[in-house]
Amino acid sequence: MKKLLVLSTAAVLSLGTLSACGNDDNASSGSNDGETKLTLWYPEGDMSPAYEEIIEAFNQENDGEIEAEIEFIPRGNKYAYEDKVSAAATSNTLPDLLAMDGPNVANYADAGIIQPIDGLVDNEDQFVESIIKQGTFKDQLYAVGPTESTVALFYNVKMLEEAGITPPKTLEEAWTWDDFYEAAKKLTNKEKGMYGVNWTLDYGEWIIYFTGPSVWSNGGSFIAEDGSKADGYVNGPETVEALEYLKKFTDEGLVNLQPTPTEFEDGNAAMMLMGSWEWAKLKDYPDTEWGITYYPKSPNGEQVSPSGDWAWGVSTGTEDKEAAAELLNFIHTKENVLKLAAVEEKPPARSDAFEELTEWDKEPLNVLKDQVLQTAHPRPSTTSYPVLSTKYGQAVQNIFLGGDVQEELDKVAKEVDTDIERKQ
Amino acid sequence: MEKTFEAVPSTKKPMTYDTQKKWLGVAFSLPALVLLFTFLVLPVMLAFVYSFMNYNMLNPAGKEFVGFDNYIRLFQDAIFLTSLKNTMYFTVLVVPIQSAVALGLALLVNKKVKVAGLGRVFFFSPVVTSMVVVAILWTFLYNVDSGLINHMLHFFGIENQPFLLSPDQAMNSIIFMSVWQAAGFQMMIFLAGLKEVPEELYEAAEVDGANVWQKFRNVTLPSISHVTGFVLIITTIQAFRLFIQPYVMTNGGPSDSTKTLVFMLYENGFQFRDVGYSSAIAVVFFLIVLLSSLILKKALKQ
Amino acid sequence: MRHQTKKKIGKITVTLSILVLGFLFIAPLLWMITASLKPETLIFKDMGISAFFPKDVTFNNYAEILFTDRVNFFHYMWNSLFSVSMIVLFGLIVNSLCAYALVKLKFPGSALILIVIIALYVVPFESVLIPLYIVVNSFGWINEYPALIVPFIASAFNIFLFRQFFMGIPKELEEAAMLDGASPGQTFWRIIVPNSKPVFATAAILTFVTHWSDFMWPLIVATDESIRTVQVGIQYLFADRTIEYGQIMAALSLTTIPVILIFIFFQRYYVQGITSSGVKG
Repeated sequence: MKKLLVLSTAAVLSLGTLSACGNDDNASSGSNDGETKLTLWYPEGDMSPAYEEIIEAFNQENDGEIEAEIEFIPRGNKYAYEDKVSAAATSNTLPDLLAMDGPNVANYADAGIIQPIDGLVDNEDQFVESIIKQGTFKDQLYAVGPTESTVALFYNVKMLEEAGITPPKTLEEAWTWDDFYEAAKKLTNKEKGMYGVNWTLDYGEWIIYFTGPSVWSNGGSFIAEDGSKADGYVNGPETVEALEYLKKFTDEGLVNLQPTPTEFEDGNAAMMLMGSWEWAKLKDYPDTEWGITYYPKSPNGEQVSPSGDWAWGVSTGTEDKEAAAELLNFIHTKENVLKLAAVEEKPPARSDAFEELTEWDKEPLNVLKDQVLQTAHPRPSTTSYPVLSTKYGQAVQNIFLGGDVQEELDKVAKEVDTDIERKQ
Repeated sequence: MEKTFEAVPSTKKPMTYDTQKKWLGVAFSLPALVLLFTFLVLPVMLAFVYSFMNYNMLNPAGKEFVGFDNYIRLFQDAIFLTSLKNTMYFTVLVVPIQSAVALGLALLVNKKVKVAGLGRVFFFSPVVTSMVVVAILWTFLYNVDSGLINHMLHFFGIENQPFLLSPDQAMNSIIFMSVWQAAGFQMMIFLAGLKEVPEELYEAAEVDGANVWQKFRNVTLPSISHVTGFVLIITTIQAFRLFIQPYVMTNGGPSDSTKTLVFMLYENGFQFRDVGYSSAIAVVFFLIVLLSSLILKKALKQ
Repeated sequence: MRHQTKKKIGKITVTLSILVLGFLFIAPLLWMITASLKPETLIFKDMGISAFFPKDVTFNNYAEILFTDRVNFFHYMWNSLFSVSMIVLFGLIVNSLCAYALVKLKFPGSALILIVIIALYVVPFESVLIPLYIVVNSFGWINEYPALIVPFIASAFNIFLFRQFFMGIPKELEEAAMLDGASPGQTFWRIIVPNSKPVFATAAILTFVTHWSDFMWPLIVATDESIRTVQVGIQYLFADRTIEYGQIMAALSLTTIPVILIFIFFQRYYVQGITSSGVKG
């Protein structure tokens, strides 16, 4: 028995050291015959074929010098991709280039799994401001991405016409909270099971992403500018006020708390606060006419819209940073950005690419373009983002179900501050 | 014993049946034990070591020993107490209900009727139905306005219930759903047990003029007591590990009312990448469940 | 005869209860299958009883997932079948032998080992995921089949299950075998195994089901296309922000078929166990 104990302790310790020093056997990059090998990870999805083509073109161009290989990681409906990255980080098996959702940049940069790419990105000035902001942590650039996203108000044209409501057509005329609330109230018809607005109560990243602009528009925020403190910010008066306003919709039944996934499409809700990508899905319903208008703004604040999308960073473990940067730039040429944006009809993250897409100047996509170029606001850049996003999401869920706004947000502040402390 | 043989120790004596048994016992159990040690005991020991560390999953090189910090934090964490309470509540209710339902179903499909085989497939089907589908459908069934369950309550003059949206009802709703979903699993174990009960015992009872209840009480129950004990213990352990249902259906809410220990463990370990704290939760969880199982085992013996 | 009619009524009652209760249990599975046969826009439109009777049946959803060049569904299915079958096959042997050794071939320490094994069943998988990954990675098994199979062959649950059933096997049977000159190994093969078919079937079914639905572990250890399992493989359907529910239901229906088949296959071993002796009770 004793022998067993000694043996096992030894085994535990040796494994512990193994994981601490990191064995580089599996590390991604390497070079044989003078050819640099690069690996990339990207979440599997509609973008996969386009990325495959781009990587193939890159390999042809760099034949004999650099050979890149992209792996598509299933993402699942929650955080499967992030969990996989975590497991790889803890055993030093990360790829050379790593795709990440925008808000994770700070977390990854702070932990040291991705490295600064200042000065390595070609045509940095062509990228839209929100993408550069999203990729920046402590004044250094860590990640850039080819596409953007935003949330806007989708509406059923016929229903709004019948109710005598004219949604705004220009950014200057965008609805205030009050306009939006009145419209939702007018469109709700409980007997008919008709809701004024549909918004998803998804449990993942969605909640902070879609409610963020209401907070910012009202002058509120989630965390101190330098990321050192959440207390007084996520539970500050402006943030509380913004959520009190959103809570009115759920309290008064203007929003269905348990909607079917296609409530708006099936004609059971007149408007929908939803991501820009949903435009593609609405094409499945050609018999109904859809419109898009701007994200409503606070009466005492600016027009703000959500932003952020998957971006590319260079992992710290890469053996050839120059080759990795070369590949990073290849992905972000104007042509490739256009190609990637076209797949899901996402807004491109380069303004020179945007100029070529004339359909984005016309209704209703011009709304999305205006938002991306003029009102986009990235989510907070903090290493405690996972705690913030999760806890805030749970709090908002409780608030919509009748919880007290101040009380719920106080709890979020406390949890986030504990996490900040842990990481110091 | 003949002394002459002692002088020649190298001569192989035929092993007695008992020594043979002993060595074979070691040989038979060795493969399983080696595998269990490598892939379960070793990771458990690692987790135990991590529970004394500040360990960011993304930064393994930066991990450091912090003594009992994680444990101190745990016992001051209000969510831990809530999760513990929720987990206990779920376990205490789900174990007897689910075991009883499973036994009932097993008895039903153990009868010699033509549809028995079909019945097994039916009752077992929720176990194999993807959690994605189960979550979508039960969220519909529990829908406050248009759910089928509320339609039925309406029929009996009861007003609409919020179910998953209410901190008071969400856990009970999950319990009900879990029994439905998992009873088929325990049913299969009971069924294997029922097949072991010799037919002769029933025949003898019938000759004595026993009715259905008496046969169940005096023949079935005592004959499968070792299986019942097993089912109760594994159901208890499984109940303690509740995670996936609240993870996909309520995300632990509303107001943490469906947050469980394993949920908390996953959230801290993976979403927040706080391996140290998560490991401390795991260690405490392990001790709690082990203690409960031992108490249960003692209680079952009496 | 009165007795006969009573039996008949009993049988009819049992049959009806099985069918009615059975529907409540299988309804979601049926819903999944019918939803997979509907066009996307109709799936959530009607959630009443008529949802089970689709008007326009379409196989488009199946065609989309089976004949796309993006993913190789059949290959994923094969990977899952192979790795899970290996777990079941080796698991049955290793775990039943271990349980037999612990119960019937008591050796020094076996009582303690049993307690440790039961305690190990308590460990939630989520808590050892990272340490296990580190162990498996140190063997160099990432993206190789052993990572999907070897860690799950020995199972505390199955050893405990076998142990519980082997305990119920009457001593007299073994003693009779011993008197016939059978070694303990032969006793296992000739007496224990044939008399424990239902528990072997149960262990096989439960192991298969458990690992068939594994997602987290295969995702983390198997990135490579070539060894990706079906549960991981179909995740691409959830990844896009615009989710196609029809295709999801089709994929889930296809992944459920093997489990149902396995279940039906092992059903045949649910025969009355020990009929030759009335010694128990």
